[in-house]
Amino acid sequence: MKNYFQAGRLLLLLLLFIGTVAQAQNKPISGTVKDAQGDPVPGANVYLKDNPSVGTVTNASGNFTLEAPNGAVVIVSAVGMDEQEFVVGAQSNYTVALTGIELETVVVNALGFETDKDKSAISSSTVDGAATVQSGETSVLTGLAGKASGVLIQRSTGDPGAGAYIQIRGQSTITGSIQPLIVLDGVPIYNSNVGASLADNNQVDGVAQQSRLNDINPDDIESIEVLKGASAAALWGTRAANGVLVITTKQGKRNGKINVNFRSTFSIDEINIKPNLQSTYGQGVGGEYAFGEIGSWGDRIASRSGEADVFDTDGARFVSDNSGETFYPITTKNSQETFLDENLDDIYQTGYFWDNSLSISGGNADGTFFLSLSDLDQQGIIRNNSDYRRTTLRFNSTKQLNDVIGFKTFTTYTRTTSNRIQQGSNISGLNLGLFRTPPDFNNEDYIGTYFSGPNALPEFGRHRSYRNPIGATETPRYNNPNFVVNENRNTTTVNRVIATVEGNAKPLDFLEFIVRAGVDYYGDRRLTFFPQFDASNLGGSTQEQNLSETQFNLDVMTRLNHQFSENFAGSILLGFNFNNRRLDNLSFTIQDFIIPSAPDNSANATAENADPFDEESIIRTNAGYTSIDLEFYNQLFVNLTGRAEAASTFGSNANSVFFYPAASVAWQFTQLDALQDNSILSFGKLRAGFGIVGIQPVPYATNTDFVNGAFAESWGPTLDAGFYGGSFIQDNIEGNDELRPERKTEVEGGLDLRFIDNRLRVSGTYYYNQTVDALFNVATAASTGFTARYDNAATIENRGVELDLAYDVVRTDNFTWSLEGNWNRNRNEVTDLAGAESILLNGFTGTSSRAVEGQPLGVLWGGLYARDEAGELILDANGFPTQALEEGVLGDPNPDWRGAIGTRFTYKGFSLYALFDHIQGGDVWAGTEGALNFFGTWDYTANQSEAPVNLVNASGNFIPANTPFRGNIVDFGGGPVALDEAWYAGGVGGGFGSVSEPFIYDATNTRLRELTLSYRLVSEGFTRVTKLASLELSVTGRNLVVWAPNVEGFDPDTNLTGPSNGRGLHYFQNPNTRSYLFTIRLTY
Amino acid sequence: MRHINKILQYTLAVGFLSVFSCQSLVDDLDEDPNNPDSAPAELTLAGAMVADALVHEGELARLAGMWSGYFTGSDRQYIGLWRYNSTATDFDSPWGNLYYGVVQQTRIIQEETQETNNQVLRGISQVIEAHAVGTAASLWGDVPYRQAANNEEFPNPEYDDQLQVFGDMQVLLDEAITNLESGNGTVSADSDIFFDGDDGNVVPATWVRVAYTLKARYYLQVGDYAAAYMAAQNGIDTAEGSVIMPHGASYLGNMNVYFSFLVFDRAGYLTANNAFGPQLLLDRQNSKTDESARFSYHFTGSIPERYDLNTGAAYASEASFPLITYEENLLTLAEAGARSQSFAVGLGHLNEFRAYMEAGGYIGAEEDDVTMEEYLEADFQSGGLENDGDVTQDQALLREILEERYLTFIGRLMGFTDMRRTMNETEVRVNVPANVGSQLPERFIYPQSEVNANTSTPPPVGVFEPTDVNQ
Repeated sequence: MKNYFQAGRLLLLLLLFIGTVAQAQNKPISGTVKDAQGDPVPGANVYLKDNPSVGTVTNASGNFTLEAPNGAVVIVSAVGMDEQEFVVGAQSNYTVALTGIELETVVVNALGFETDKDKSAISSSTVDGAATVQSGETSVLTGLAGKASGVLIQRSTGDPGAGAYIQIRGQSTITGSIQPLIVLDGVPIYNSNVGASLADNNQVDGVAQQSRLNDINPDDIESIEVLKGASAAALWGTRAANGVLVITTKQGKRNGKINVNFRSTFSIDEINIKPNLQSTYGQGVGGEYAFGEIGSWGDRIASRSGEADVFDTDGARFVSDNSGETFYPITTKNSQETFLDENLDDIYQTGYFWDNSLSISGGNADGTFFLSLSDLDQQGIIRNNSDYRRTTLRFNSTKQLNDVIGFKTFTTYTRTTSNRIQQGSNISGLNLGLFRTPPDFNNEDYIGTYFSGPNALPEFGRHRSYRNPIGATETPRYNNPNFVVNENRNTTTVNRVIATVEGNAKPLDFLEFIVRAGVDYYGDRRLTFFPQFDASNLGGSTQEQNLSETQFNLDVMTRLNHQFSENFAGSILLGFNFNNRRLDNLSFTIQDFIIPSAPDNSANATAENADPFDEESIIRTNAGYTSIDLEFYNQLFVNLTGRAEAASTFGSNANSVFFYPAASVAWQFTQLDALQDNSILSFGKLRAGFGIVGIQPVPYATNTDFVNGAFAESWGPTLDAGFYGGSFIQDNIEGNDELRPERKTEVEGGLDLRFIDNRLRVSGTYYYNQTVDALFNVATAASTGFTARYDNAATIENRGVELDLAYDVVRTDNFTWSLEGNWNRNRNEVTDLAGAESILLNGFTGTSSRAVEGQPLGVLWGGLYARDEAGELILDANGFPTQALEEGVLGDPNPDWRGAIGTRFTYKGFSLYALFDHIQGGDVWAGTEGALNFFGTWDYTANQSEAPVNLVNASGNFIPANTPFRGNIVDFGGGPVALDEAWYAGGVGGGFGSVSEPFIYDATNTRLRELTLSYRLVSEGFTRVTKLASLELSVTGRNLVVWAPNVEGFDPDTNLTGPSNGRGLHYFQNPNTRSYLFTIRLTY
Repeated sequence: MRHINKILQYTLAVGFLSVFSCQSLVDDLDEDPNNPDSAPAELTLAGAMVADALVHEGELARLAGMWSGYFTGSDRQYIGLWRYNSTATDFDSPWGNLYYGVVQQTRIIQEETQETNNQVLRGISQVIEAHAVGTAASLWGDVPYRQAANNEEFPNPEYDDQLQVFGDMQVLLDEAITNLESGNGTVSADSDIFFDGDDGNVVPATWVRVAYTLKARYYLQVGDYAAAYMAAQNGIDTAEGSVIMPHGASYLGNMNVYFSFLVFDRAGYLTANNAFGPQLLLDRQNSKTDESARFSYHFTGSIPERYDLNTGAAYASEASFPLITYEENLLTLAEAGARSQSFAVGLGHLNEFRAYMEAGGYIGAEEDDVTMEEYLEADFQSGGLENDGDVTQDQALLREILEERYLTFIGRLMGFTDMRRTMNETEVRVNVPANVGSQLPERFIYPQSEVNANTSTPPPVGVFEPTDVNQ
């Protein structure tokens, strides 16, 4: 630490020496700088035009004092405002009013400091906090969707509180986190999705986990700066490879007045796209009804007699707990009744949330405060156990003790509780059982008592499902969806505190010391409860988990700035960063309850059925950094940064310190004399940047461990030596003491232009980045004794273009019409994978999202049809395609390009806003459709076709000409063939065939993401009568329309594997939603 | 500009100094607080045994079961697998468990025991290794052995010739026997899942017998029947001497692997609908033989279209699983005896097996439930119970022994191995029909993980290509 103060002293002397030029005939002047609203502007620069080294900065009240000669021209400037000047005359007190140019003129850099956007060379997108609130999304993350170029936001599911995937400028790591670093008020905070990532081995089933960023109340946010490029983010070294979201929360205003804001939003949510299910054919196989059969390949329901079903009432029976009704085995199915809608309505409802947010803020010259309270109470579109409640409390304050020392504090507490629903590839999941249910089976009665014979003893609590229609077996095979929503419980309770304190000392005008310390702690208590007779936990199972993460971050910085001459100014920042992240996870799982109905308790199972688990890790990083800003002729701006970093995750045989340099240059060429005051081109800036950022290895991968001897096979069964006296074996992953961080190098160039008095604003950026030494578990041949080695092995490239456009089409006092848009494309390629053919990112054995050399990251991978050299299908004797021996690339989930267009009309107090976004290209694996083909419940399996000629089916049987049959006619190249039950339920490319190719679709989609109509009442009369400053009413539609021409039955804006590195997978995840929101906002 | 340079220099100098001085802040945090970096060899043994059991009882056994006519794939991916549509990735997981779970761990034990001179422990680990590697050679043909599990020296282990591997297994098992008989060292009851450390005997005779049974198995597989007969005579001689994986009620813990798959993981995937094996059990009834108990031990269902594996008996949650057994050894004696000694020797051992079954046998049946009366020579003569005149007396006996082996190995990998070994002996082999087409599978495919990461992996070979020993 000492070193820094010494450095500071040295620099101080240096600058004092060159900086002070005294002038004899000065007289003291003082003044106040105010903004257009009359509020004081602190931090404005006030200096002599002829001698910029004579100057000062306004204090918290906007006041300044200066010694200046008579007749001198004094310039007053502040970030985001038009420059003003005045001439020193007889008077000694001056009031200067600065007006804003009403653009996004301020950017917040990686360290949380505001800088002038026009002088910045970094490419970033600024999103106003209010815009994320208005979007109707309950999470800050999803609220960003479509609002920033180069930023892809994709939700996991429509579940309340579910996490989302963020990708900035393409995926640049294989197994490392792809989430950007979140810096909240200058301090990094967690955006973990523990339980949703590859490392947690919880990939294709379970519940949708939350993103921890959801804990932040969107109403507390002033702005979000998306730092996209490495040059902007390099100050965060190994944490910045995926970009940085710099979030600034609100502060009170120094206007001496108390502001009260209240917002209340009520939202109505509904499932946005339902699956395409058939209700023509009933339960059965081979065209005949079969009681309890797995598929819906039975008889045509309309061809039944329509009389009552015939039951076998002599044997076993089931008495429902729900209705009291008695069920017997059906011997003849006569009823034509179908239950498709009823079964869906049992599960899905109109969800809603009510979001209330109150803030009180104020301040005066010495300090400000901002206090907010919010409560979001959401009931999901899935009945009962799907909800989310978030309560937040925030207190921010600033205090200027004297002219030198000031403090800021940011404190927030969040409590989140949520019930989640089991989903995905999961026989205890919701949609798996629901969508597989035959249309003629009513799921309503799901629990009851089974009697194996007329005089048998009752067997209570049996789980009835379509495959277990009288509860005759203990297993329902698939959970009845009513059981999932009513009996399974998956809760999470999160308590989170983020506290940041910043101390600031400014002993001299040009010298500043900043100490910023922050703690982010959350505890997440999770319960996963499966009652007795749950399909995957017949004896019942409870898991309780206490997960917590604590992050401490300390920055100590010194900042010096100096105006050397009129044409040359500079500032330098030196800093030290210490960051410590600790994870603790304590949990237990029990199975086979002793008393099925007992409360959740680890004692409710025998010792051998109780499994405790614990895990802890510490990741520590420390670094020194510097940032130098230089300004030449008020038109050329240079920023140089460097960070030298050491971390606990690096191998002992690797370098201990890595350096992350960055440089960026911006040139405001419109400052050239020839271009000044140009009536068409109002502003032009060229910029270029270079930077290196990184990703750390996972902790404790540097040594080969000995671990509990448990072995699993790919289908699920597992044997654990812990049940056989205990054992420690060498891990299957080899340790690596040469681990070093992944390094991503990026260069970018861009152009920002504004035309016609700033009414048209265009900005474009091209970037290229390359990640080398990307870390992953390099699969080793098991014959070496290890199945993997965690190593720096891959190289990935991204290159792309980002365009932003804004146009104020009409700008009159009463009416405005503006357009804004963004567009970007990214090309990604895994250029080197150390010889590995492919690496699983996430997904199934059959179909997965992978890294494949020479392909974009995340490509869909699985079984293919066999093709000859010309690419034609190799058909079998019957004209059906065959399976290729090796798996390969099926598709690419990365879009070709993405764009969004927003437009806003305002007329007096009315405002109408619409945001469309479009994703062109990108493939998705429709696994749900595939599975439901097998079961015969997807709509097109119920098509009725007529054979034009003798048609062969996949079993080699003939369908005579002119015979109607259930199925479709397709020509694979060898003449028409019949796709019927034999194909869908047993063929190579059928629903569970070994070929995934038929279920890959182009996910191109356009959505009306947001439509908001609002009215704001601010008239003087209104204010006088109500004492309110304003009243705003708005109606928002979120996700109103989705056009996805090639995808049917689901919204491609969901992903089975959540915010993990694997994408483009759809398999029985919970659906997305559409919402209608009604908001009232009062300002006092 | 000069000033700027100065500032820069100072800055960088100070920055670097402080980083290096603060490097100590992150030192010593790379020790994993969750796992140790070494373990006593004895503690590793149980892990290797568990992995070995999973390899033999898990997905390979189910797949082999479907390809040997015992079981049927009735749902989802199992339909394709039943139709011989398997791909390289299907074998990544069992191959991984075999090499890293068994071979790597047993090699670690063998290296550690060089220092401690615990030869008994080393011997047991060698038997386990031989069990796994012999299975690999049987199923895949040429497999890595000599260069396997030695990553530092051989990052791309060579595939050794199948016959050489079987030869190496004999050497390894002889070493194991020498070690076991040395009297040096012990294994505690906790570390030996199968025999509780052989009850503390100085020479773990049970393990020695297991080694001989394995030797006999591998001699049989390469067709050296005389040597197989010799070895089997020292093999397992009581039911208690069988290596049997014990199981319990805990899912993902100690539950029978079949049960876990059939009930917990993939209900409905694996059945015995219309399978050949269960029908054969019922069809071979004669005046001296009633197989209904063995049928009920393995299967349920009254019509062939609805045969299922019996999760209440052979595949029950707590049902232990046979790995290297007394009944196998008896039937090795019978087959190798009949082939290399005489009709009488073969028949004698077959009757020994029948007597064992009559008393309840490995299916643990009540004595009255099983009928397996002694066969006489006349039963194999033309017109006898087991010969309607189509084959010679010797062939009839061999045919009966092979059928007995086939039915005894229901659910075990050995059935698949026997089927392939006897494929060309059309007159005596068990006529397992192909599930589709006319060809029966002859091997498993090399796993994708080897194709991807081991440059020594041979070019892909299809499932219908026989391994060297079966050509």
